[in-house]
Amino acid sequence: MSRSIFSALLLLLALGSAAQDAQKPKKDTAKPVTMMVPAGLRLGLDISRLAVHYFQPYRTDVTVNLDARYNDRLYFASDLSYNRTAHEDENYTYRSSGFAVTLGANYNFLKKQVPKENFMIYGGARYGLAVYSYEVPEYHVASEYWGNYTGSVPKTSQLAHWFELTVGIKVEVLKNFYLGWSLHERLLISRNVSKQDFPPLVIPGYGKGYKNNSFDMQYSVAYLIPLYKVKQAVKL
Amino acid sequence: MKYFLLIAGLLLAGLTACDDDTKVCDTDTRTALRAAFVYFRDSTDMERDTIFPKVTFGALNKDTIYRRTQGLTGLQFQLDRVADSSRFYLQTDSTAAIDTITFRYRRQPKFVSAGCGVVMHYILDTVFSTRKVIKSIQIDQPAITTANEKNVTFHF
Repeated sequence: MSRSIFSALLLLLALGSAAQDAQKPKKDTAKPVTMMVPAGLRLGLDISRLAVHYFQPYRTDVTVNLDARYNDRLYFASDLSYNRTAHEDENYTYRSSGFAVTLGANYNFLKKQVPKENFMIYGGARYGLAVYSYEVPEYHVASEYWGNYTGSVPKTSQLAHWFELTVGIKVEVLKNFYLGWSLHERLLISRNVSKQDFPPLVIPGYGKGYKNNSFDMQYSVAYLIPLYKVKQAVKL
Repeated sequence: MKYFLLIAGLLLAGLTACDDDTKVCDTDTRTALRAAFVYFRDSTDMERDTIFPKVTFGALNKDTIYRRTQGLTGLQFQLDRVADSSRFYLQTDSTAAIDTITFRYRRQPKFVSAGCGVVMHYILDTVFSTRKVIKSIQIDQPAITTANEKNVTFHF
């Protein structure tokens, strides 16, 4: 299902670019003008984590998105995440908590047509690192014939790191106030984490700890704190 | 167009969030030892799968797993999850002598998924039996996992 959603959204992005192309004025000889435009630190909160908690009550996640414009097209980007997981059913009890940070960059594919419009369709890459601890106070292996086996996994602290590709959009809906979503495909570099006999259910910032890749989507509200100006090429 | 993309993203974010793995167990969690019956002809050095008319099989001091079951070409049964060895008895026919079989193994609890929890994997170390009807036992695949492969062959 993740793949089909991913494909559908890529198609949407393609349609978006096509629509932008269709709106392009006819070729003229006007050269792009370079202007100084406000830039700064954009601070966002991923509100889709609230939906995750609603549908998966055992997970509590908070993700803060940061990005800062470096030049015309390039943005430095980072996500800071916290996760707490507490699950209990007839098979096992599980508890974990931890933090994650991703560092990388986004590239805006859109050419500016209106200097003050801050609509971006971007792609990016990140490196992610999570520090977390987890424990399985009790688990059961059921057998009607032999009787149940009960075991536990003591509290363990671990590191996990991954590589991440992302695509998304950001729209300035009010002055300096942005809404946007992004798709994230994460590839776990620390494969030993997912291959353990009892891997973590959730790696903060990554997703399901028992899988070598993870698909995720974020929906963020963000506020741009104007701090400096960058040069931007605008085709008037 | 950009607002359309914003709303589409919001809907899809909701869809991806509702995927709760702890509610669904869609993986096979059975880790049973599979044994095949083979009849061994010394004179021709040939082996053939064989069927026994009334097989009775179970763990010592426990209920039977198969009670005079007809037409069996092999057995499928669980090993003890609490101990590192299990002992069983096997009678191939109601008039045949009873053999006792001992399996020694290492246990390895293994998490399979958030919805299914933990299963017990085993690695067979040794298998031995009395030789009243069984001539020998061969370990084919020592790992007993959810793959449910044939693990041992009983030669008669």
